[in-house]
Amino acid sequence: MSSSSTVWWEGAEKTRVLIAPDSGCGGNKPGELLTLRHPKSENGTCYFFSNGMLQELQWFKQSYGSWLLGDYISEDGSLYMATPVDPVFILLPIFDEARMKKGEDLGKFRQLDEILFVEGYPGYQQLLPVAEKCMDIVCQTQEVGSMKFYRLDNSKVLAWLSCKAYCLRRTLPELDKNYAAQDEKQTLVDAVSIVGEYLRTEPWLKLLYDHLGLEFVDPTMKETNMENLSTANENNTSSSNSLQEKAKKKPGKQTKQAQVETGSKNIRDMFSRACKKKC
Amino acid sequence: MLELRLVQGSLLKKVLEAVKDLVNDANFDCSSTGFSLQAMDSSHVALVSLLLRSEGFEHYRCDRNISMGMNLGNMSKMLKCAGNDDIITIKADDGSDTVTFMFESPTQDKIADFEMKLMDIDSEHLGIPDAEYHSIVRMPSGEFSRICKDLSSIGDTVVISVTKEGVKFSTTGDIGTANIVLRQNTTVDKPEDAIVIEMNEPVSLSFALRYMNSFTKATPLSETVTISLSSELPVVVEYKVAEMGYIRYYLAPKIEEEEDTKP
Repeated sequence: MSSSSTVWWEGAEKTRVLIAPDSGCGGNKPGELLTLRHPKSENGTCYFFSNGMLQELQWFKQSYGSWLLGDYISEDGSLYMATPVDPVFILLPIFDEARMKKGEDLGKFRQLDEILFVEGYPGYQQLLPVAEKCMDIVCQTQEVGSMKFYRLDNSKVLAWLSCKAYCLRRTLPELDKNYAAQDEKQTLVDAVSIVGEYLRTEPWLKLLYDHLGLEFVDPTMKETNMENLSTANENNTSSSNSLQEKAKKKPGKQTKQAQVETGSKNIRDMFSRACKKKC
Repeated sequence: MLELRLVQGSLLKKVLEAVKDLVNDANFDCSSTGFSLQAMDSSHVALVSLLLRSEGFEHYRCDRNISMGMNLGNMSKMLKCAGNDDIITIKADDGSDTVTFMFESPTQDKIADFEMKLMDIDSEHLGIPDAEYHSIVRMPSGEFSRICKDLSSIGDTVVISVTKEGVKFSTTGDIGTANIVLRQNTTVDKPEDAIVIEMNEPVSLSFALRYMNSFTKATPLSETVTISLSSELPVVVEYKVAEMGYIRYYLAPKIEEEEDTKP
């Protein structure tokens, strides 16, 4: 945030602080907030759309805090961060519903403006230019004159999802040496679980697991399994852990050890103070 | 010349397990009183004080006061090679830079000796004042260990409060809160199972659970643990070692924040 050019909208009642990627067109339309359905939970969720780039929002809030912005105090001390999200994830459920696939019948080809008309969610219509650019990759298309028709295609979706998972599997070891230490299959499982945060479990996530030849693990169950793993490993004195279990345990355990205790008093100081009082 | 022979070698094995995760390197001090150690952990939040009195050794020869700097991890590796029933002897020659651990099987048919290089460790001994603690709780060590482990699955910090109702251990975390209350109970079959609470003044202090979980590694040494609390002092968590001494862990409380951070 540059403090030399703070421009406030007059009459704005509340401000928030948002960190977003520089869309490079400086000073253009500042972008808008759209309410769309979250691809996994289907709840109305806020997205940021700026210069053709769709972004998802993360919200960080400490219980007490405000922002000092130049001469101005913003009461809401939350921090919002916008990060790019692949619009195909967001549009996938919409296109899935639009084709009206029933069993063996592959469904209907439809035009974008029809597909993007979602009851209660006008925000999707803003995404028309985005959909034109990116949905070819997961759809079959037909052109009649100047009109273009789209129909979601499962095999293309799975190919795209697999590509995402493999890309992640390649990237994760570069980000963290703990990932680099574990075997590829486990990294792929982790990659799929990350991709799965943007997919409905039925049908897509399960189809993806099948397609990649992996066993489907319910994400909510996975957490308790990992907890049991680490306590079991703590109690287990034998050193015959499989490489997978060790690798799974490592990321969690290492961060715990690396935590420096900052919240406790210094015991040396406490004793010297106590001694001074007495002696 | 130093020669200390301990018939119940397992005590020394357990002692090392109880300290090696908290402290990496420390000086063992030998004097006519006994074999002792005092060291802070690397974060200077906890302190461990160990004493094995000379009377507890079958043979105790310590010609002059000496300090032997040792890497506790390495010492633990050597002691793991001793059988639980072995007799352990610690030996060091004057002016030598090594220490020897000798393990004899009870039937005297197997003798092992391990020699380890000593380190040069600068250590300051903290004066620990004799104090009247506001509250003292004595309880089964296994129970305390279980409580610390259970609470650390919920939160990082434990609040220990002693009132006339009893002693309460509480924690808060992302998934919720937990409270465990123990009341005084002296009508038990075995004295080790009793919970004895001596409250001179009510007291409530917060501590980082990960240190408590480190301290409970001493549980194999004693059936009971004594926890002494006072508002302006570190808590003392004490495990007696058979009839020959103690391990005392001191832990500084969390810094009190002005504001309560939980929304």
